Amino acid sequence: MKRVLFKRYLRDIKKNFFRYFALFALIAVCMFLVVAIVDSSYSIIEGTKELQDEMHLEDCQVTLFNPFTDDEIKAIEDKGVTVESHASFDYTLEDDTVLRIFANREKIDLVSYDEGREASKHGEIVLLNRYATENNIKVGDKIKLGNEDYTVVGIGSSVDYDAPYRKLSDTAIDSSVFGTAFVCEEDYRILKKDKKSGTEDVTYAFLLNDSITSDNLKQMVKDFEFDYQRVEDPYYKEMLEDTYGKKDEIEDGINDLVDGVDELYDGCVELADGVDELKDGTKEFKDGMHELAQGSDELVDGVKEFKDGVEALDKGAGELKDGSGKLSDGALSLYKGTTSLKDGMNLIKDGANSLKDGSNALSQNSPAIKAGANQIFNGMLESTQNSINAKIDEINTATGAGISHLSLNGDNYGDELTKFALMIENFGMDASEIYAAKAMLDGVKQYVTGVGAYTDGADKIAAGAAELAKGSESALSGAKALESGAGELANGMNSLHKGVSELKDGTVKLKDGSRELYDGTRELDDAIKEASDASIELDDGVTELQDGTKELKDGVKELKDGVKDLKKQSDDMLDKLFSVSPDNITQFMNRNENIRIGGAAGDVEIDKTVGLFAGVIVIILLTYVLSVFVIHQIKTESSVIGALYSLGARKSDLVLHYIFIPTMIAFLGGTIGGLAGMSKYGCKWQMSDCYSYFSIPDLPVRAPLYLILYALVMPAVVAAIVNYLVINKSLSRTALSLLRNEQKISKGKDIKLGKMSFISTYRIRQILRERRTAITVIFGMVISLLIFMLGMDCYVLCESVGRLNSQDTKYNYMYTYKYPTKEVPEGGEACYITTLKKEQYGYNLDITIIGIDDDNPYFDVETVKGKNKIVASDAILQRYHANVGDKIVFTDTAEDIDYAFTIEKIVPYSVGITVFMDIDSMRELFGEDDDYYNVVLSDKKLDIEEGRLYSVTSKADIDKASGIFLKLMVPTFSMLISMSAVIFCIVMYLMMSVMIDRAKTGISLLKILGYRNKEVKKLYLDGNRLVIMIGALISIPVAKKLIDILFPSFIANVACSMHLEFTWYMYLILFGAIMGLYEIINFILMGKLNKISENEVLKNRE
Amino acid sequence: MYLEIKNVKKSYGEGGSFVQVLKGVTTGVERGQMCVIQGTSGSGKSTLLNCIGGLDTMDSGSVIVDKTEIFGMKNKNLAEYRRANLGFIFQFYNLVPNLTVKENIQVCEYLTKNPLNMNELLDVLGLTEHQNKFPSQLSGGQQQRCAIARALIKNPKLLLCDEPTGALDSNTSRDILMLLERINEMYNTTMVIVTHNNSIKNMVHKVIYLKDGLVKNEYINEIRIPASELEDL
Repeated sequence: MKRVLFKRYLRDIKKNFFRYFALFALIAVCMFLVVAIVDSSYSIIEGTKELQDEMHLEDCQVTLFNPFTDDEIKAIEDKGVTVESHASFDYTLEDDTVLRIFANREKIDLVSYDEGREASKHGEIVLLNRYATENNIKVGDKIKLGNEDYTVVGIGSSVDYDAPYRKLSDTAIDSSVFGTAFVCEEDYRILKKDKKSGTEDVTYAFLLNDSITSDNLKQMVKDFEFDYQRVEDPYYKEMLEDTYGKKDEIEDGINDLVDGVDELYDGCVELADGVDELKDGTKEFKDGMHELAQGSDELVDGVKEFKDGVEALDKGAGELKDGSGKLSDGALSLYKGTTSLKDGMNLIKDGANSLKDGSNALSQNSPAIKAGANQIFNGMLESTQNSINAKIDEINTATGAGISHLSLNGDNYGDELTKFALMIENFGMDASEIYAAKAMLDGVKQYVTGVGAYTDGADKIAAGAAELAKGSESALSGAKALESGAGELANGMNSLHKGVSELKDGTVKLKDGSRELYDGTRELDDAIKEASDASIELDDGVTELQDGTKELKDGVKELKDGVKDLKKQSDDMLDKLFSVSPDNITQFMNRNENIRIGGAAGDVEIDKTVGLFAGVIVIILLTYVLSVFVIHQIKTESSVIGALYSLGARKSDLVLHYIFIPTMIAFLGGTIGGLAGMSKYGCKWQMSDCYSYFSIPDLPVRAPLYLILYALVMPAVVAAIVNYLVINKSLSRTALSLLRNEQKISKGKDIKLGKMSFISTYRIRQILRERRTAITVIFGMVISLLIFMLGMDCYVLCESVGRLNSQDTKYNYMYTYKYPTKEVPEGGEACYITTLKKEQYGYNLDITIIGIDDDNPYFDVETVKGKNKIVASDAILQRYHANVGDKIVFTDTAEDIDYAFTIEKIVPYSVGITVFMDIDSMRELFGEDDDYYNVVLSDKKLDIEEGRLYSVTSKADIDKASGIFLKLMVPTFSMLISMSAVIFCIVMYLMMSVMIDRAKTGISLLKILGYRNKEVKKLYLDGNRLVIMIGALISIPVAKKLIDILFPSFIANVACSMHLEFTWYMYLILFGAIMGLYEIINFILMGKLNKISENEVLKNRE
Repeated sequence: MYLEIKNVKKSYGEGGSFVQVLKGVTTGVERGQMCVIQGTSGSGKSTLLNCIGGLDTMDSGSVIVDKTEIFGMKNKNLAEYRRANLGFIFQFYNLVPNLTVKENIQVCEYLTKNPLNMNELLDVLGLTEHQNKFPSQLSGGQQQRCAIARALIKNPKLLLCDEPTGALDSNTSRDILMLLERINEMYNTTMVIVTHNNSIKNMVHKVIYLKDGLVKNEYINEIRIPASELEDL
């Protein structure tokens, strides 16, 4: 099946040739660019590496004040090191270009000749290829140096100058004004003497041959004896001599300082001991006070209890006193009472005795009285009885009643008389006499009874009186005893009361005393507490004093050590400066610190990663575009696929079938693009960018295996993966579903649109139906815009660097000194400029530190005083994202010292990456004299001896150098912008074209219904305008932001500010351009739409 | 029985849209028989054919083709089953548009290890002279013949035809039916034909009449009328 279907591929390709060819071409072009960029990067990196080995690239170099002696060279060579003089001087030609003249080399950093040969004899010269190209000099031409014409016998390059920066602090290479040249030894000596020659740089290059480290070599060179008297440079000598006279003064000062610090240290040690003792004392005092405070608390409590007790005692004593007073009064009353009692008892006794006597007399008459009374009664009773009996007889007689006589006695007379009275009354007779008799008898009887009672009483009285008399006797004696006791009690109680009163007086005084004692104790306690607190504070204070003293001691110790080191160093320094052996080195540089070495390779390093990554992204986009066609084809052939499934075809067969074309297109595009990229039209063309900036020979194109595989395999694999992922789902449907060409209603398609016009509704439905295609267009737009933004950022950066550098350079001349004069030349403004480094993305960028006075007219910067305070240019913010208040560390890589600064302000300044300092603070920080400067700025040309200067830079030079970037980058950003436009147009055209293909039936139907072409266009094409518009509005800022984030890493090795801002009208133009391209494509597609015939509906129905 | 269909039930949809298309169809076809399934629209003819062909799944029941039960087979196995046993002919021929007649047939030739002879088949189907033409260059009948050839090249034991003459005129339909008849005779291919055309039932061995998802009637034709003599096609 596969073989048969293969035939179909060709027919399919033939049928959709433009579509497939466009994508093939796009893939090929993209792969061509990617491979060209990556391969050129690889070829340059590997080529320069190989060249460096071949040309014996130095491991390090040293620049000296005095050339090595033969012995020194021998000593170095004895260590196994290859050494060669690379002395040079700058020669200014008549056209104001500068050639750095070297003598021919034999061992290290050999010259690679593009053309010609070595300058072997007098009058011959070899020029750096970039300088020759820029100045249109060819082999055989003559150039005038001094009074002589030199014939150019060779053009080439040297590996130690592949990035021919004139100064190490330069940010751009300008080969039109600067180059290197090689002459024979004789001519070197001749030209050195020419007045147009600058100071000679005594530089040596080394090959270490793995026999010594560069650090050891540097130390070795430092250790060489240095006789400053041998220094030929008069300005340097002047500087040394000026400085040397101060040696003794400095030494004395340092010695005094050492002694002073020693004494200070001893004093500190003693102070520390004293403070330790003081600390012990205060600690004990504090503990004692603490205990005292605790005792005082207890005392206060005790005194309070005592005071309360005394108060209670006083209260008790008062009560006792009152009680005793009352008791004493009672006792006295008792005594008086007992005396009265005794007197009474005497009277009672006397009365009792009289009573006894009287009663006794009374008792003695009682029997006679009693007998007389009884006789009276009995007599009257008898008389009454007789009268009554008589009466009875009368009655009996009168009546015959027979009444018996009465027998009356003292006990029955009452009843008998009463009965008789009642009886006679019954006889109607008067009984009053009876009753009268009875009453009389009762009276007498009472009398007898009274007499009896009287006599009994008299007896009893007599007996009682006797007893009373006896008792009164006893009572009297008791009363006497009682009186005596009461008297004693009264006396005792009186004494007790007096004692209690005295006690009360005592307790009152005691109470007052206890209150005073309590108040006093509390005051004492408060005082003790304050004293205790004071003792703690004292202890803390002494602790702090102790710590302070310790720190002081440590500080003084460090100071002592520091001063010791200082003395040692100053001795060393003084020895070096003032003895016969100061350090001969002005600069020592390892190859990796030398920005002139490996500049080309460093520049393209990033291209490799970015290129490979970008290639994958673009291929994903393009293969996705291909997959959209495949999906369209699958939908069209749905029933055929269903039929094939019905007949037993496997999904895998069809998946392979459908991903074959995209994979093959990607493969062929990748292969052809890749091969072209590796050819001279690709890689070589790309390398020419590098050749136009760096000074390297024509390097061979290399084709690394990974890049070949990348070009051959990556597009095909990406295409297979992308298409598999996209079409797998479509081919996973059942045979029946495919046969019926069932349309699945996916999310979004069934959206309710409410009340909208028919045209709007139709357009939105069409967009929703084609949303995958719309997304692809937007995706393509984003990718295109990323490429576009990359190009535009290149342009904007180069343009802004050029413009702002010129704008920010307000001086016309900058004189950089080797040996500054004491006085600043008239008309010049002194600055102190040095360079430190800061790493970013693996590159150590130069940070220029400019020390200026506040009134410096060439910088619109107000510096802040302070050794670590800087005013940063906005480049610092852009490159390192450091802002006001942040700390930032710069490194002196040569001395391996880090300097931490605080950013006080950010100012707009675009020349390199620059920070500003107050010049005095900077001098202090870097240990320079108060009047030190190394750069003079001026708006006019100054008369300064050339020998004192490293260089003179004019504003015109800067303007020219600033324009180099723009000139260099024009091809790059033109290519990127064109490429982005092509990708965008092709993707947009293809996607919109497939939209029309898919809508053929609908379009045909609308035409049948009578719609005009314009109306059909409105429905099917114009809706895309909204998609493109929204896509552009989203994609432009997204792409810009992404590239702005990534861009600094693309130019990580370039120390410049990063002004990537677009003006508002650039955005507007971009948006307009996108919409314009859309309209053009829309116009082209109109033709395709017009061609769709009404028969299409019928065709699709078979 | 080469093809045994037992109590096949098939439904679509849920709730309000639930439709029971096959309600328990039981029937069978002997090896080498030509069988027509007839019925009104919605009676379940095509659904039954799809179930036999493994294009659609049954809810329950059993379909045994040459002693192989296909109910419950996984998709992968169904594909293998179709590959090994079946040929399909559709109303709309479903030919690959950018392959020639011969290439369209070859697409299926590679699906089997023992295909029929291509030239013989082309000859039998009268396609020899058209073998290098693309579908768009052929008439409907020629396209259908091509579709038949594509189905037959695998030498299937069972040929399932869904309205094979539905899109053709009367004469072309006769030609196609004659062709099927001839193939049946030549290769002893068992055929199940779903059709609306009432005349076709006269040329086949067995007629199954479906109504409302059930076999309403089925019978064996005692006397078959050759396709060439069929009327009202």
